[in-house]
Amino acid sequence: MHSNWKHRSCSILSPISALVIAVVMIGCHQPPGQLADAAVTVDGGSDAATEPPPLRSLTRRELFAQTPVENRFFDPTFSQIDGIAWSPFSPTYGLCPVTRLHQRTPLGQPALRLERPVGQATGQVVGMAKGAAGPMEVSVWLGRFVGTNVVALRVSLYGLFVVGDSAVNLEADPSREPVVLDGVTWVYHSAFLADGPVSWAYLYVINQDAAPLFISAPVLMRVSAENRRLRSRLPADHRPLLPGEQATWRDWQRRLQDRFGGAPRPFVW
Amino acid sequence: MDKNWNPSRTAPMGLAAFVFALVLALALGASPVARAAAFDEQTGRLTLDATSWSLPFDAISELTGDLGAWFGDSGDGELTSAQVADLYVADASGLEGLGHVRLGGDVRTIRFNLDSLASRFGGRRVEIRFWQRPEGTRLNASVEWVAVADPGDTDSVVVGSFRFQPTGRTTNDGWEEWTSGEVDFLAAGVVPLSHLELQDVQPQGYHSGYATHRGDLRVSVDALEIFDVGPALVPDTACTSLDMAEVCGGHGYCAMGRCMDSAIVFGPPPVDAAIKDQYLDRQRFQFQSFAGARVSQSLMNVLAGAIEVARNTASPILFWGSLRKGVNSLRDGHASAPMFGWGLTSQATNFGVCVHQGEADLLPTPEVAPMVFSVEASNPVADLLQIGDVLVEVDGLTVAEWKEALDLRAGHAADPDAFDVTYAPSLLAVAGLLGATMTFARCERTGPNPAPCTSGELELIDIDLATLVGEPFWAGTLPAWRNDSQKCDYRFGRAVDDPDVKGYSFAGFADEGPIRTLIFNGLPDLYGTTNDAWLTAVTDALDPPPQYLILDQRLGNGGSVSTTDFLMGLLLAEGDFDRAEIVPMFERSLDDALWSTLDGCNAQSNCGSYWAWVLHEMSGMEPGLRGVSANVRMAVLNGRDVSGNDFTTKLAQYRTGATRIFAPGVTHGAFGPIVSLPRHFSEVFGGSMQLWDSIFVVQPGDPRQVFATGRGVPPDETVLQRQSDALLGIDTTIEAAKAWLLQE
Repeated sequence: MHSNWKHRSCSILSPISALVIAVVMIGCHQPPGQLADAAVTVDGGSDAATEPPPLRSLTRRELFAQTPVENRFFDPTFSQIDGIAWSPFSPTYGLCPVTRLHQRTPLGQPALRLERPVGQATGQVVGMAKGAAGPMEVSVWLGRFVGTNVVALRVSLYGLFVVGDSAVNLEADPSREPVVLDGVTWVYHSAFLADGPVSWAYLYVINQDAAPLFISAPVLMRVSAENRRLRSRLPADHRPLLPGEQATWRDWQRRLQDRFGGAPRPFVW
Repeated sequence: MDKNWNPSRTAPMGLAAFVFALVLALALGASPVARAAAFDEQTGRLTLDATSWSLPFDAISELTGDLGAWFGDSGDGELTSAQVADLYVADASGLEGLGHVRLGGDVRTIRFNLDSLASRFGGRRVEIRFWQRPEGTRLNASVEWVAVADPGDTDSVVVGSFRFQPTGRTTNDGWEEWTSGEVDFLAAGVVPLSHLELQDVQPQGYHSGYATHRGDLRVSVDALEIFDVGPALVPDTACTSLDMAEVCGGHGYCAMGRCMDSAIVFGPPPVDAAIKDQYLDRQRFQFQSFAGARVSQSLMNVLAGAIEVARNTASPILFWGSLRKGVNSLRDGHASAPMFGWGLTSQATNFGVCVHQGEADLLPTPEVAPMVFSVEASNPVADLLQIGDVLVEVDGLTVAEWKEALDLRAGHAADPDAFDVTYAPSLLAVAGLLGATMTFARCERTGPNPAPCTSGELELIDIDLATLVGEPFWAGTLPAWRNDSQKCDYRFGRAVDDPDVKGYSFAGFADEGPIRTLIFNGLPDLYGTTNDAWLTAVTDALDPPPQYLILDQRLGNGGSVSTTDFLMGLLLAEGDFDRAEIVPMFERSLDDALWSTLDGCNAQSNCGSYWAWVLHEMSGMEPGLRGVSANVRMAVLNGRDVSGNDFTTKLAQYRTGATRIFAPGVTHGAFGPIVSLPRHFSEVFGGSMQLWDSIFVVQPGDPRQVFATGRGVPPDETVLQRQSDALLGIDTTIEAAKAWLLQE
């Protein structure tokens, strides 16, 4: 599933190049001082300690960093882990530890750290996204600490499609190189959908390893007619929902059904 | 009493004044001159502005002294000196100076006192900026204006508070600049900006929900500056609810009779133009793409228009007010706009007086008007009022004119026809917030069948809230009675006498001859044992069935669908009603083919989050209980009913047993689950909406075409509490219900 995992150095660049590239790829620089973890180089030859750290430069971060405003994930920045927008409940294992992290990530968005409950085989989290008619792409960056088990995870999007209730797996996408930031190797995962989910769908991320799994920048977008790269991709295969996916959805549904009310307090003025 | 609107008196917040405010706000809408620490590209460091008041975090001693910094742990306990000293990082990895501070783990909060800066910034307008570098977590920064009677006094009022926002400036090693935006240092020329608080976002519970706190996450802070950006923008002067736009200006707000920068209670709009656009575009997108109510989808152009007004203003009150108005125009009773600031507006009090819409039949010209239902406090406001007093004017306008002048309807999200009844209990609070003068009319009568008062007999009671409340408040007196507030439940009388009778989880019943009255205020979740008393009361009330039933849900705050199913499952037979279809929005035609797909998908799987609520099945009700009281002649009493209580009212209409709805108006029309919307930067609350709508399928095979949200259920008999009955202690609605029940 992850044959293209490789480590990429955050190269030492000239100040001008650093400024230019920093604007495009946030954080791909060895930071001066506090941030942890030495950069891991591809050939192992560079010795970061003998070269001066790159100069700090001024950059800019948009509200949604490098992700689109019209992202069809309900909560693309994990600000609401309330059991509806994002739910870390496993019907089998109970509450799975998830923590929202503010750290450097490939697209500058917050990350979610997912772990298995103590003594349990998997940890999971599921988040809502709104489908639409026509071709779509779903994507997410997944990360592991450098040197840990990069496999032992599964990410899928399940929902009602025109072809029926089904799920598609997101796979490591070689169109974007893995990125190493602060000791975490991030790999881009995606799936191309010939026709989007009929309505609400759910990104289902499972961590099957003891090491934490990092999740960042979930995106579900329509594919425009101009985007030839995506339109030339083969659509992901649909498969029946796994028992865990079905059980997770039922659990989510039950929680939603407690929300007939608690209407917002009338705004006084 | 002059009941004719004096055309010489302007109503600034009516259309003309709204335009005036808009023009003024637009004129002020150009981005302020940016003030920021200078970044040196040669050194990669910041140079603090020489004219600013700055906190370079070069030593912990900077934070003590006049700033009186308080350091708190994750349990809000105070850190020791040694723990505080450990916060300081003495190296050059910060943005400027000799070091910086690092929080996280067990160190949650730093709170500074800024009121000592009043001598420097009093009468001025300021902007506060600082930098933070998230290392797993980050800070929420907020400013707060706190009115205290005496220094060190623990009795205080938060006049206003809002959080910082990102400026968009960052560095390639992860530092982010955050700003307060521009705001007047003094609230109403009196209360200084009191506190600046930096707090680790992690432990903040509500929206963190089920997130796990990690103790190994950190965030660094450096380079805090306070810029003097000029004289205070909002004049320090008296105002009224009707002249605040003219007198206080486009950024002003009339707080208890004094002009105040509206940023203090609402928060400034996004400061960076691009971030502002992205924020508004996301608001428009999420409502357009996610809203499930079909009526809301038909009204998206109204929201879009309001968003454009917000886009083109720098006025806090106009920015957040436009967003609120636009969201509330969608007729989704579950919708609410995001909230960035809070303060006086969130602490409004009714002074212990409940006012509801009534039938003022003792006035010289009877009319429907807000009327005092109860007085349950003793204070300078409450002591002036009695049960049966009718609110006839506010700041010289009729109540209807005043509500329109202030565009109060913009704060109502549901069926517009539910507004007057729903909003009535808030009128005192709004008047108090603005420092308005309320005029009540009293007709003193005793004995049965009282005649209306003539104009000469009417006693007019003026309550000048600016004088009673505002003046002492701004002079530094915080009377304890300002906290007198009574929960209003839209009832004049109650069949059950219980101290918790207005509580959300309360259910109780009482019998008067053959008539049983079941009172409840919502439909609480029945999982676990927390609400067992509710379940027991409802079951005991309806099994075995009474002869006649009054279902008193005049306060109906909704709740759980399974609870709704349980209650109505007792009251409807299996053949009375089939199911409610809970349907999300589809960006494709909901035609027969899609219905076929929905019907065919596995009910145990997600079905695109469409689901069918089949009566009696959601609660798993045992067959012996189903419809146990289906044939009981039942009167439903409504007042303010939303969501789950919209459903109870709607379903009641399908009963086999004779049913009649008595109410002063319609229900909210919020047919679907509510979800909270995510925050996109540092809002206090991200808003809410319905992602689904409902179709009521009475009998299998009925066409599935009519979406219910946006239209409340009207009463079969419109009944308001009569003033004459109030003076006699008679609940008009209950008497009407009894009379109908006993007609059989």
